[in-house]
Amino acid sequence: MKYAACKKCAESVGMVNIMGNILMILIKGYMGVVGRSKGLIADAIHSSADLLATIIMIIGMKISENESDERYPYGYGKAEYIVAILIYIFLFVIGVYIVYEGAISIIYKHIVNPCLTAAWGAFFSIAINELMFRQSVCAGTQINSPSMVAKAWESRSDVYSSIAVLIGILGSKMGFHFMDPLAAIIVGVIIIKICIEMIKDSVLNLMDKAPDDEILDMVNKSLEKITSISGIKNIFGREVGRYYEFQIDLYVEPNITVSQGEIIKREVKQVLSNTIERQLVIKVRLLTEKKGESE
Amino acid sequence: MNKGLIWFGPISVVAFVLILAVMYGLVGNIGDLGPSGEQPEMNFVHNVQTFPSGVGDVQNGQIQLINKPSFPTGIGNGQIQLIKQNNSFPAGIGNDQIQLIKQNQIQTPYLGINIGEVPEAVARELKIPVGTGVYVKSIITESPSEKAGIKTGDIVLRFDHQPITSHEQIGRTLKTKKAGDVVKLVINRNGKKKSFHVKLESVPADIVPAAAALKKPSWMGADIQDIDAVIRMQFKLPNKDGVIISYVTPNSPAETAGLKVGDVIERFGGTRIRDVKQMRDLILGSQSGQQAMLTVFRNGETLSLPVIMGQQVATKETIPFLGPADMAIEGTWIGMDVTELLPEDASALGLPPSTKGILVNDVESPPATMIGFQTGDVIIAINSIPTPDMKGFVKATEKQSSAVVDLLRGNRHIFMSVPPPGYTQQGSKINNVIDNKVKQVAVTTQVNGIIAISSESPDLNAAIPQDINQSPYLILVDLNKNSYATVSMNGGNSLSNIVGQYNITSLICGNIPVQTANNLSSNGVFIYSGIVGTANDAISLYESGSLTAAR
Repeated sequence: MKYAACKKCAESVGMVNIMGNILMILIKGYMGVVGRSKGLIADAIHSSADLLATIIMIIGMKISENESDERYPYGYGKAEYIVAILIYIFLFVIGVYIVYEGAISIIYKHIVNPCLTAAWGAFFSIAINELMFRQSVCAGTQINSPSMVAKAWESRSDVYSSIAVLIGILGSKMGFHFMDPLAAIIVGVIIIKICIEMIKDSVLNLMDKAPDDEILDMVNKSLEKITSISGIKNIFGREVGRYYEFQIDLYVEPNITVSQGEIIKREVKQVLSNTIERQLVIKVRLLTEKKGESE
Repeated sequence: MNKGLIWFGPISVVAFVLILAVMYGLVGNIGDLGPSGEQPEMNFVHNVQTFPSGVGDVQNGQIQLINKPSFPTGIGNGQIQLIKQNNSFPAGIGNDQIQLIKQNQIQTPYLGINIGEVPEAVARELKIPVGTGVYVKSIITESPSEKAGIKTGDIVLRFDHQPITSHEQIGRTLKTKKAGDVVKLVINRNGKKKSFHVKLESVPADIVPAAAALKKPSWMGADIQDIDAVIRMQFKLPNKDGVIISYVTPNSPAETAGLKVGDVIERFGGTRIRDVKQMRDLILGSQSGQQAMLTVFRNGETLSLPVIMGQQVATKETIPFLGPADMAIEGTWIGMDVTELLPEDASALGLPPSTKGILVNDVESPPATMIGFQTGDVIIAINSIPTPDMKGFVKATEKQSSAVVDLLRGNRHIFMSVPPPGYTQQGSKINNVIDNKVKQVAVTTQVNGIIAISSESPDLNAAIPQDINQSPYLILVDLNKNSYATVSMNGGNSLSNIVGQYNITSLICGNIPVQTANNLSSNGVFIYSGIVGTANDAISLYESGSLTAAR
């Protein structure tokens, strides 16, 4: 870490992203409507989709923090996915509408004549996005968090839609009236793509899809290091909110005592929470090679 | 509490997205709205162009008819019939022609659109070549066109498969059709081509009220006037902005709104009023039933009064006719002969018999001629002093250097400003060459009066009285010294005395009794009698040698 301030900066990244997104949505929405640019309005909706993703993530965290109760003994972690599916279906419809309207405008040669206000809107959007990207990358590098850097690069693609919109607006100003709706269509397609991805993820998580292979490999490898385990029967994992839940069945020597078994369990949990960054709920069952179990 | 906040986030964003989506759909249409949004204004501009100035009351259709004998049949049928209905349409102007058109229409099917040339701005906006298409100015309610979906602001490109370049063309084609035929129209609406099938109908019987509702101009019912310097002074107004109300028609929107005579309308809605013409345009441009907020200046206060525009009910026209005024008590004022208004006169003028006032019998000389008094005007007040009879009139006119005269003309109230002598109504001093040339001097100095001019007042701009015996002053002008002096003729100063005393050689006056003229002539005084105008005029005339002395 170069400066002490970097830590503070990294902590603020999330907030800055949310605020920046809100600001961008407002600017783009307003300027798009005032400047009569379909593309810019579509881009505002695109930014809204990003903002919603962040908000849903926060909601998911808050909800999964809730204690499980008698009615829901496994907790509320999956509520996040339901909310996400609902919202992204809504956004999907909006995206289709954007594409459809844009196409109609082009086919019927609507005169969409955005004014320069809209171009400024797109310009601000690009600028704000770029600034946020730079902050994330810098802070991510400084506090040595590859995930933050990765996320920053991911969100950089938002800039491309704004650039397309800016080109569309300028093109329309030059007399190619189809260009603004075309930019809108491009943005609409991006929105649809985001929605499909998010819906897919949410559905898979709702269906208790196994974690990615990398994570399973990591679990496998770390378990192999524990000498007191004679074999691994199976590892079931799923994602619940921000937790990973693992159910691990292990083979052990049949003649160990219960307290020895408890020590093994604790060791497994310790090893796994050292390898995987997310919070974990781990259930370990110890089995003998042939038959019988201790729980 | 925390939970509420959590849900507030996504819900507000979703709501915002919804709003944006709605706006997104609208954006393409905002451009479309352009031409049709501007359309009423263009219509209005169009109206202004076809209106000859001063005929704001006359309805649009009539003017079109007058201007265009070749008015195409089938177009704006309603208006033409309306004219026939309108009794106030002056007899003798193309009545036969109107009948003819009407007969024509019985066979011609009815389309129900009012069309005209494509406004230039619209043509440019939609990139339509000049000379193609006709513009739909308005649509008659429940007409075949409206049923087919044609809208105001559309541009008809093809009619019955033929490209259209003029509105006569539609009329011609229409003539070959009959009710029940279906005609295809290709229309440019906001840059998009659309086609409509219109099933023609025969002219419905109730088209007249529909058309009347369409075209009758909106009306407020207050007579308004520009404010000049004299009116401003009289009504103690801070400036000359706005227009002043001289008359409020009973049972009119203006009366309902509480407007009063003497109110100054400063703003109409958000528009600052400059003059009568602008105000009239604004009223004509507004819809009947529309509410307008007037900003009114009354007695030093600014009020806001909402007025709901109405439509004018037909008023009967009054024919001014003047009976003999033998019995009246006569008087004169600033170049007018006036009498007390008799009940017979009042009824002859179309006024209620109980009207009290002073009738202007004759307007013969300045300043009355200059100001614009007319024979038949009835003066009912001067500077807010009522003049029901000659006594009151004399009292009101006694000590007035400037005045605002409230008079009745026809059935209108008019404020007439009488500027002080030597000034115009706008308050500027009358600039006269002689005024600069001739300087006033005291009468006691050595003025060897060469010319004496009888005068209403001691001023070179005052009028020469009609009769020298009624002249209150003589102005003595010495052209050699470029000076003048005034002498009062009141108090025993007889004319012959003055002539003798000041060595007067010429006398300019109105009528002069033959006896007096003879007396003066025999003393070597040249008499220039029967002169009308101001003393200044007389001097000019004298200098140019165009006056001829009486013998």
